[in-house]
Amino acid sequence: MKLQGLAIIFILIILPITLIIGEYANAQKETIALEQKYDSSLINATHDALKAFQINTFNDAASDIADSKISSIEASVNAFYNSMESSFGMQGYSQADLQSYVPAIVYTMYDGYYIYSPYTNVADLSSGTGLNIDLNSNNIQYGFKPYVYYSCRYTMGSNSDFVINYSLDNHITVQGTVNGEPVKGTGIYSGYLLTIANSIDDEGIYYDRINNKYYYSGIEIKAESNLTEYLIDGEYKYIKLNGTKYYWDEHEENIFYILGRNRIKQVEKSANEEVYNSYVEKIKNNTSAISYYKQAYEFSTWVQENLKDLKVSNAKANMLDTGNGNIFQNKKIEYPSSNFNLHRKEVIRYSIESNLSVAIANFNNYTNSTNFQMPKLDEIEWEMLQNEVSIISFLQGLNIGGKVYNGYTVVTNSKTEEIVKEERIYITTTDGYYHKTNDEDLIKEYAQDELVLGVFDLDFEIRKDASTGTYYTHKTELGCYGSIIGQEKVDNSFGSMYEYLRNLEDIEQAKKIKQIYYISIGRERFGMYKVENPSNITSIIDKME
Amino acid sequence: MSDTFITIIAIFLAAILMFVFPLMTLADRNDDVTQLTVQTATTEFVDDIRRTGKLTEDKYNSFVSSIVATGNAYDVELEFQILDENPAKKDTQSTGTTVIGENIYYSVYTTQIETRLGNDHQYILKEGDIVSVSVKNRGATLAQTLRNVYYRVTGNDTYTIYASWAGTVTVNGK
Repeated sequence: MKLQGLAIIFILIILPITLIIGEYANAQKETIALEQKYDSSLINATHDALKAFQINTFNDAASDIADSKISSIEASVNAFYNSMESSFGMQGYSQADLQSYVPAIVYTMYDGYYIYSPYTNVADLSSGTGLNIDLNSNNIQYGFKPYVYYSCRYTMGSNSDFVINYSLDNHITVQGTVNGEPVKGTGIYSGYLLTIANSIDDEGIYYDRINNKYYYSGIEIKAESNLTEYLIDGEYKYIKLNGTKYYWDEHEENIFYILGRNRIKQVEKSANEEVYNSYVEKIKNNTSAISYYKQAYEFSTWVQENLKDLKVSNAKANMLDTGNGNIFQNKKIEYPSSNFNLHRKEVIRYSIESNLSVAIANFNNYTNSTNFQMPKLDEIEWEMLQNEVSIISFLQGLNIGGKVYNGYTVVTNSKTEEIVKEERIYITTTDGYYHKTNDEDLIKEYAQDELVLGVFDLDFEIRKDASTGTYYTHKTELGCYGSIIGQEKVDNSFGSMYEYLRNLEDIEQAKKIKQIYYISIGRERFGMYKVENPSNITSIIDKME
Repeated sequence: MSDTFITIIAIFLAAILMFVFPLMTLADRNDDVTQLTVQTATTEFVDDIRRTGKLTEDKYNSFVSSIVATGNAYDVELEFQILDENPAKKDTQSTGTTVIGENIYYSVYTTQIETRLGNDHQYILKEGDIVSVSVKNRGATLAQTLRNVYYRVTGNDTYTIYASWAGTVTVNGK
């Protein structure tokens, strides 16, 4: 055949093949581009949900109370769907459509979590004949499943059967029977777990019975006096108890707190002088830190006496045995690598994983299309969930060209009042700046008397006063450029703040930093809202040292 | 005479069809796949920094080796915009203001970031900082070389593979 003929046949064969391969490569490119776009839309929508939740709880003084928190979370879920709708709206999806592709949204909190997912068992109250429950209605509702605590049941021998509720830090609650008796008589006992030290300089709490003083890792825990912060109209002395800050108005002679737009008077001198004086005395001589260490010492001693032999094998759940030994081994309990912390993280992981798998598997009953499955979260994400308040969102089943989209995101809330994490205590200095506790400059550049006070990080944030609409900050110090704005001077070589402080050189600045830090973290943790605190503030004050 | 001329043209055409044309198509497909790989690697790299709040030397090196594994040399440009809230705070502290002051961002670029990675082995960011990464290929890819035989696109910064991604950090790194 002639060469031209051969050439034409060659073209006829090669050209269609090239075109098809080109189209295929294009389709793959578009699928991957769409998948990346969906990934980042999901991250952005979850981040928007988090911001909505943060802003609502930040500006709301009652945000620790369950009802208020639920409404903040519902608002946050709305923010999530609104954000998704605006990213996906271009593809033609409305909010109702998107709901059928989101099998669950999980909000992990300080001591438990909520799962937002669909359910069909509804109770009809409107029919007038009482509660009418329909377990299989076709009316699919979206809402929150009941709060699940991070808890685990244990049995030791034949006369101990109890449940321990864990949280994101060292606070635990023990409920049930131990050694044949209900725990502490009432059946429930909770508190912070710290290491008990055998001598003043050892790590942990040491109680000097003779002088009635508490020491932590060699530092004496003293009372503070006259903590102040700014409100819109000036500086006030205050004390924080059970999650609320009580301010002392020296002019009007009353104690008030802020709820929404109003300043509510807790007590006036003219009405009840004795109670007023008890508040004032505690403000002038703030023993929150001492009370924290005292309660932690009593609780930790009780745990060591009664639960010291508890092992992971005593747990009535199929959990990973993290190790060697007793859960409450009295050695560096505060460190992230202690037996207690490893077990705590395992309990949290087991609880979230099992409930979430069930929720997502059940989701298949509500939609007809895809087979939803629980994706495997990686270790970094589990570490975030076990230590921070976070949101997990899932998006599955969307059609993206060559395959079906299956994605999830974990976003954490770093500005929450629910938990006082070790790294959230900042130290202020006389030059008007605040620093992270592990800022190298605090040792190298500042003298001992230039280090002032330890403050919880949220007190530096810009707030809005609801009554006047103006903005202010509780503290006037600015973030230092070495450790807050940029991070060059931060010493991250140790796994936790306790370890960092323990390894500081024995010089005066180091002692001062440790003192400021241990007292501040004690004060802040004592002032947090806890469900088991009595609601009557006066009884909390009476129990303080 | 014209017969030979036609034969030469035919051979020339045949050579182009049988060798150059498939080679160019394959090289183009190769570029497509490379573009996809580099874009995915860049997106994952940025999203990882956003999620964890820090850039470690290991992460950076594995990112660079994964894009270099495609066979080309690349120019990687990193930019971190660090959020500075102090001016805003100073403004709100002055008198009762109904407007929050403005935050400012200051930028840190590739060389500074690489120096810090060399000294501290990690670069820690906080919530609100902005990360942006862009990758361009430096040498000519095979497809570019083949195309340059026929036409040359003028300009110094010609590149075929380009990927960029940016986002805000959602977590305080530690």
